[in-house]
Amino acid sequence: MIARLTLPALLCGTALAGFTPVLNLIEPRGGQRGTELEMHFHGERLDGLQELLAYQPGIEVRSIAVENDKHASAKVFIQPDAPLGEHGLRVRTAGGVSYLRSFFVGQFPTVNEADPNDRPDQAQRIELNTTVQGVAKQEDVDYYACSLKKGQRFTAEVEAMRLGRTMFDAYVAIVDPKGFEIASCDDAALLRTDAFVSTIIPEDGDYRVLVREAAYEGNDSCQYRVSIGTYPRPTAAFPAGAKPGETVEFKFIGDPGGEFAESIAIPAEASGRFPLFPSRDGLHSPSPVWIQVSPLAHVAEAEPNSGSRQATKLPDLPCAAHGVIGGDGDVDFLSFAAKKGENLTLKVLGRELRSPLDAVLSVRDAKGKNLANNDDQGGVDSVLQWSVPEDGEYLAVIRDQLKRGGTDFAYRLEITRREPAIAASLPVVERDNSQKWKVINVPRGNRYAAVVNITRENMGGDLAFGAESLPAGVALQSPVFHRSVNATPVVFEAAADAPVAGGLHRFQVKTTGDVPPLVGRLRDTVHHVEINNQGAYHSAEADRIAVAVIEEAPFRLELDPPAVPIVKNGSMHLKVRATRQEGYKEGINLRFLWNPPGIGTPANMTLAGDQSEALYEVNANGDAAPGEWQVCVLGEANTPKGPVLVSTALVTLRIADPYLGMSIDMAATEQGKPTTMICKVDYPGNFSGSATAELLGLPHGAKTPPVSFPHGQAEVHFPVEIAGDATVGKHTALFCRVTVPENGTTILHQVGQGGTLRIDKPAENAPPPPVAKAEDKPAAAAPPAEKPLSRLEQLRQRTK
Amino acid sequence: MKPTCPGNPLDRYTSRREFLHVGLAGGLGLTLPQFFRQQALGAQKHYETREGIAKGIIHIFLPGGLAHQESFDPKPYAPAEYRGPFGAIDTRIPGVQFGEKLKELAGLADKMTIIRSMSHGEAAHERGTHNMFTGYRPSPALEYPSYGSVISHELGSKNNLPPYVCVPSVPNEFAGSGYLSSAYGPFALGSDPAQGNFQVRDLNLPGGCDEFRFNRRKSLLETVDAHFRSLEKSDAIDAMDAFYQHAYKLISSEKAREAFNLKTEPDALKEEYGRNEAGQRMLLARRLIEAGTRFVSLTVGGWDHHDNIKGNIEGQLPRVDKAIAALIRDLDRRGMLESTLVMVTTEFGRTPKINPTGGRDHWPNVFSVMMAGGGFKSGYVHGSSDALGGGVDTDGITVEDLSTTIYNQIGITADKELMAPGGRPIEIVDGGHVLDVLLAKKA
Repeated sequence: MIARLTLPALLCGTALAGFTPVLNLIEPRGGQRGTELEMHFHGERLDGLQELLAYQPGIEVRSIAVENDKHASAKVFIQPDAPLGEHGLRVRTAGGVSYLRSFFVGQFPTVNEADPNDRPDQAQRIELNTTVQGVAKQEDVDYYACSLKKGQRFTAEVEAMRLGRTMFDAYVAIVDPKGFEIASCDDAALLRTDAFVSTIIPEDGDYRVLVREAAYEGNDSCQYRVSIGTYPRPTAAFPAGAKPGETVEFKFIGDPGGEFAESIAIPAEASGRFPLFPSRDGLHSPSPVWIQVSPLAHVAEAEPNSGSRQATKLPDLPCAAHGVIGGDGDVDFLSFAAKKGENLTLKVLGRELRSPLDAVLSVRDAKGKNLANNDDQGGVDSVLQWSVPEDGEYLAVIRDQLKRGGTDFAYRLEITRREPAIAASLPVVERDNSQKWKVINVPRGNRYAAVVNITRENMGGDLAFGAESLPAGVALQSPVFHRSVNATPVVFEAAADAPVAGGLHRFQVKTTGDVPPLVGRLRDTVHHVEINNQGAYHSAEADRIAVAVIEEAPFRLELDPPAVPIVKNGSMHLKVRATRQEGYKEGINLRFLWNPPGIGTPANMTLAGDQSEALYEVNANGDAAPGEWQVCVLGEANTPKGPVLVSTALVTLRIADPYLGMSIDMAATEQGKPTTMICKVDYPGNFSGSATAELLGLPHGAKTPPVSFPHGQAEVHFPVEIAGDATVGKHTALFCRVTVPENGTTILHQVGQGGTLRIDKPAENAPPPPVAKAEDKPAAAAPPAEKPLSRLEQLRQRTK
Repeated sequence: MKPTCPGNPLDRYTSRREFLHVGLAGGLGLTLPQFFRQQALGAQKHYETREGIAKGIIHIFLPGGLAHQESFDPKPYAPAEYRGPFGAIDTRIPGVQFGEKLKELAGLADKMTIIRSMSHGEAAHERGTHNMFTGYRPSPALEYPSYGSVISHELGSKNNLPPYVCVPSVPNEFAGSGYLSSAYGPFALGSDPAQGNFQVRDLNLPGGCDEFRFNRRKSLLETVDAHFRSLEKSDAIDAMDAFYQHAYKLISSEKAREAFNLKTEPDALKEEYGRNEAGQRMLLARRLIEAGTRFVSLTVGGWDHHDNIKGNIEGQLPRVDKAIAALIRDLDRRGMLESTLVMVTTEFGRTPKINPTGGRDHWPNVFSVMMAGGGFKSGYVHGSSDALGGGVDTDGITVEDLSTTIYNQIGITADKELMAPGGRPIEIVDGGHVLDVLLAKKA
């Protein structure tokens, strides 16, 4: 039976919701602007679906229906002015926010592929200007037929990898009435692995569009949307950049119907890579060409400029220039004035804006002498960090790496002084799973923690991290991001009465203290399709993070603040306590979320279902930075309603220099002959009471009890019993574990690394070694012995 | 002695007629390289093979790179993020500990030599594998033969059995015959002994083919081959011929075929080995060695634990531990341990520190291997890694030294030169030494 729940009913609250909803697929993969459609969500724990979180405007949810925990649907209306192209969507249930999935908004009516259409004579007949949703199965070729007149533009563009479901390299071709492919495409610089074909029809007739996986290796997940029609498909815009708020007459290049111009107003708040959807005769390209929006003054290159004397002159720095490497062998010269000592960044935006250009950039002086050059510092694009040697005119020279060129080989050159910049992001915590832990689901009356990565360019210093907004009842605990680190954990806490709700929220980092104010955004990139060492095939970037208050979790975690510091080369155990709801007995997987510099911890540990406390081992190496650091532990556990994550609060971990140091003198003995290990102690720190030292790393057959000593004692002596069968050899792995008392607890030091004990076979003429017996008095209990001799002293005595 | 390998250019120009033919075509210039080749042949280092202590070798290779910290070289005193998720257990060697998941081998430590100071510096899978299969660093100029192929070349077949068998299949591209004729390549089972219906591919006459038909087909093939041989002299034809000869012998020898028949092993023994991939592969390896195979190359599991080393080790190592232990016990009971070398190796070790995904990455700077039987010492640990398992601390061992020692124990002097294409004499191992310190009984 299908349980149909409406949106208001769900908002009243339901006990159905599972934690951590999984959204695997949105069907259909796209829809037409100005129409209403039923959007289906497939995944897990989708019961309790409350809303759709959309990163772009224009998709209006009219009702929601939950069929079961694996399937829900929504009636949505795509507004007529909704932006074309990819829309990022998440679903939010009372138990959390899902991963990001995509939905494509198009301008054409959408139809489904109708099998069989695997042969030209079976081609599915469609109207011009239609989008078909299909699947390229293994060895599957799909044909679609349209009637066309001579001179018409005929274009087919396929969204395949961009649908982000699976690794799917699509191939598309136009087949003429005689069966010849008159245009074909596997990959295009504009669309990466996706493909488009666009041509002018030579004769009246029935033409077919062919879609398949490039290597015929499709499968049931290889879905595509192919838009077939008479729409324009330019491949570049000129100029390839603009200022925010200005209206620019863009020339769209690369369409088979010829160049055309369109005047477009750039929004005042736009910045960075910006999409333009060229349109002609009321028809748009289904995907954009890209430009760069920034406030830099810009000029267009003036051809001819393929020599230093013809160089296009740029305005005062910082500035930008737009150009096209117009033909094979073309080189563009752009001249600019710079002052001695200026640190400049010269950056060519080519492939970044999906231009076919593989730029090579060089800087020459006015005489033409090469000063610096770069090919691929910015991916395929060129970036140069360059210090100006003296006042004067310089030339930026741009060409294609393979000396190719063409009308759409557009680029934008930016020359800027090196300015400070800061930014934040969320780290990838699992290989090939860039979405893991990228949403902030905070159970009511509980906490959730995330690590925030920061990047600083041309600046150093402490930074503060904060949210521009948060759901009601959620507080963010964020320590200062110390200048020496580029990541820090932050904790979100939801009040017990916080309403179950969520949304997309912006975060930023700011400078703190007496430094010029600087603000940077938190931006998160998820990779929809990525393969281990090959990298990402399709990604989506957002400047907003999903934050939600979710239903109560069945446990809380506390991290006890340590009473003493951890010392360099020392170790401590931090106590994690779990408060479980009555009857909740699942194991909790604990993870020390972030390690301060020089601190090491196991990646994770498990708090068994019948335990309420765990000791998390924390180790400091010799390079640990003394100071105070905020740390926390994140716990993940299964519940009958799915997995849920909660964190402890941030607590302060203090790293200190060791209170004492030790060096172990080398000792040598024979099998069966006891010896004394002498440790010299120095005391850079203070403590009261007795420290206890344990000598570890002894070989088989060597034993010594722990020794206690007060502050200030210069030497610690370990009487070592050596059994008759003790392992012969030079044993160099000895060290001391010393516990130093403080604050009613102890601080664990590890000192004296590299201590050496040599055990030889007894000399052949010596009497047989006495067999060690239990009743033998330990050497330590013997009557006050003479002062034990060091190895050196023993050797000296022997030679007397 | 084989003066040259089949297919070697030196084999050509044997008849005066051919010599004249080539001489006429190429002029006198051709005689000079030929002279050099002959000179190379004359200078080729040669040693007769001897009777080895080891009559057979079982090479258990753990692909992907087994972590030494979790197996033969635990670091119980290291910080938790180095120590890893497991503890250490005492072994039969006083004062020596293994990782806690090697419970059974710990009880047999007095039967084996553990080398804790191997290193080769090659952090990529294929390069590490190449080292551990051939004793050489990979070279773009030459494909080296694997241990099994060299042994096959030097010692030949016994009891009609293939001298070099891969269980269950050829594990990687470096397990082949390299520059030697492909006739010395491995015989691969083609199916897994762990499967209930295990049967070696191609070992029996195909259904519907009686001996008469088989012999008729055989003579047909010989006619075709003879024709080709009259047209062209090539390694491939000779190698194919050698293959067929081996195969005919194998198919016609009941005893040889029986070596592959696991069904005759008692159930109790199958249980002792473990009814799984590891166990049944090792049991078959023992049968093959017992029957006369010289070198069995056996792979099991996947040990490239970049993530979740805890779960991966827990899931795989106990079965392999049980199977290797059963193999050593079984060989020992049959009095075969002395004459059989069991070597457990891997591509490289793994990083001292556990990575953020709970795994360890590639680490060729130090790792551990195990040798049992074949004249190696019993209850001996050679060398050590440093306190964190990150580098060789004492008595480092190179791949060359280890390979030379292994070859020595089966009766091959690894300094011997084999002829590579182009008349290049190449040492079986370049520059290794026999490590007497590892050996109780030197061949």
